[in-house]
Amino acid sequence: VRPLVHGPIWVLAVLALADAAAQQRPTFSTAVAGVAIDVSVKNKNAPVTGLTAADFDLFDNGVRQEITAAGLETAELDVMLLLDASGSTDGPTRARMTNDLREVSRMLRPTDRLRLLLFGTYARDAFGTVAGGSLPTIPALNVGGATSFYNALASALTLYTPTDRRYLVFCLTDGADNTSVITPADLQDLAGRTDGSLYVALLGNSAYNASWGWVPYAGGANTKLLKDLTARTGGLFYDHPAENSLPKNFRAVLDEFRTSYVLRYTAQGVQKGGWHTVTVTTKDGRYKVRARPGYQG
Amino acid sequence: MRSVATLAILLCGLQATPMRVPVDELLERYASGDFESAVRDTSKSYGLSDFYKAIRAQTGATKWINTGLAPLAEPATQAKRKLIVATFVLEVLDTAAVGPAGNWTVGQPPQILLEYACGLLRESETPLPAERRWHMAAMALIESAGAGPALDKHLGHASQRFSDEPRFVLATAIASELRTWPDRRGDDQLETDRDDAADRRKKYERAAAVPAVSAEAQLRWGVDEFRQNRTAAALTHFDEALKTPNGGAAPDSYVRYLAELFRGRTFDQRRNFADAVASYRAALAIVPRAQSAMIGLAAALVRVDQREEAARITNDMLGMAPSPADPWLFYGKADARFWPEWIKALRAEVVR
Repeated sequence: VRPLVHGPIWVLAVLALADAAAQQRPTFSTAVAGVAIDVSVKNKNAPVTGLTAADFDLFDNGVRQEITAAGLETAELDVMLLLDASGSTDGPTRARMTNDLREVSRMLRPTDRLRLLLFGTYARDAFGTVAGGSLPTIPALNVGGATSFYNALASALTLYTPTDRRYLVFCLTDGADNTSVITPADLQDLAGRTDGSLYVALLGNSAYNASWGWVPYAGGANTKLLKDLTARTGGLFYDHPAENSLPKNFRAVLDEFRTSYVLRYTAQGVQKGGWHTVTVTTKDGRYKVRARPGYQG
Repeated sequence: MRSVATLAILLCGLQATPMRVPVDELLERYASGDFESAVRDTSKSYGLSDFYKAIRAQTGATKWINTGLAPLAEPATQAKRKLIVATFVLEVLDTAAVGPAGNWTVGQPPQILLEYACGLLRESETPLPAERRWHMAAMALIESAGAGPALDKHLGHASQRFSDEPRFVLATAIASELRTWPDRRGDDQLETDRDDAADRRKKYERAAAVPAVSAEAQLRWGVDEFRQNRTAAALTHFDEALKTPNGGAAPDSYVRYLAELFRGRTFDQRRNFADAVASYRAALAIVPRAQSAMIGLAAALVRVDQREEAARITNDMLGMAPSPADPWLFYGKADARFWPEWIKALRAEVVR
């Protein structure tokens, strides 16, 4: 989902048809709110295709909105992968991660873009942005031995992508976090403001690892938080899925993402700021609909 | 000869075990200034339990103290040699392991070794001036592990020997604070002792009245208030921490950075994101490239709709090597930031 009320993103959306000079204007406040909501529609577990804007009812803060466009989204993707590299990624681990990453890359189209964020004590960009299908190699980056998972998540959520693309954040993690300065409350707030859809696959069991000496935080995965964050972005949380490999989990995410609709509308009759609760249903009520619950205006 | 012996062992199908260098030999090397290799060889030769046994054995430290370099040690020489043994023990502990805090409970090798070394020093009725530094370095080591109870125990001895030391006054509050970490992240409960907030407040207050540690006491007092969601009080303390205390030295960059970072965190909690942005920027002016302030800044900028700059800062942060000295990662380790300086001073005493 991409709420487009944020300054530069909205500017790009609305001015797409305007002249290039106008696109340079820094516009951080606006009277118009362009919003895009990712919606998954399923009949039992099968995605439902062929729906149009007329098939949906959408309410923004309780006010019915006119959907200007709806379609199975074919836009190009910006994919951000988050992988825990705390400790060492040398030798076989790095080789295996590189193989997995290349498999993920091959699932993407050449016009899609892929980026990898490795995290440990620190968060680092592994190699910048590469085109889908390319074969990147994971470098020997030292990211430290502790785990700043929440910092890494926040990093992904503070980025944004041009409005003609969709932003997919996927994280494979044991959920542990012991050194982030970012809190769960920060993440909840950022999740309501991000352009991206967050998908998290929780693997393994994180235990309190105190081998570091003093750490500010401890405890296992906060599954409640991760569920909430993914839901806020319209993404999904996979709690210990049957498969634990990166490619297999990413395949599931990509299939889900590519079969979702994007409903676009210009919010009418609502205040611009604050939290906007969004509800989406299909008019005939036959299908199971999952949509982002709202956005921060 | 040694290679022949090794070959013989291999030919016999036996596994060669590393020969242990005797403790008195290691001490002799350490005392002559061969610090790194003496400590390294000790760590190779001994686990901490074995090292304790060896140093307590008749052929260990006592023998070396009494019959080492000088033919018959005078009291002053003995005291000096005890300081050398105690400093050597500190360095071995630092090399072996400092964490986790559980290693420092009573009866665990690090705690036993430290207690032994401390006891050696306390055998002298009048402490050598350098003993003060030793207690401070020991304190830094324990704080690295986040071991509040062990710190309390050590400070009991250190304060008796040097009751005028400002850092011991502050460390009394830190020992209490360390019992409250870590905070919960996951769904599960953690056992921490948080019930002595009033007692902690008194200790911070006492430390804040000592000019040499006033700024740092104010910082930590503020963090304690922040963690208890008393944000107005927290901000007052952070402001105090950023002022140069009367009669004291200007607070170091660790204190100033953390005061700004926690101001940012506090403003975030109060949903005053504009002031949070300013605080994070101030923190980054003190320690550039520190990820804790960079990510705090990016998150706050998103919340004031400065998304373009937020994305730029995040991209910069992800693309650059982070500051290895991000004070946030060392907040609980407190005095550990002085360890290099203090151990250097102790080494200088050893070879003097």
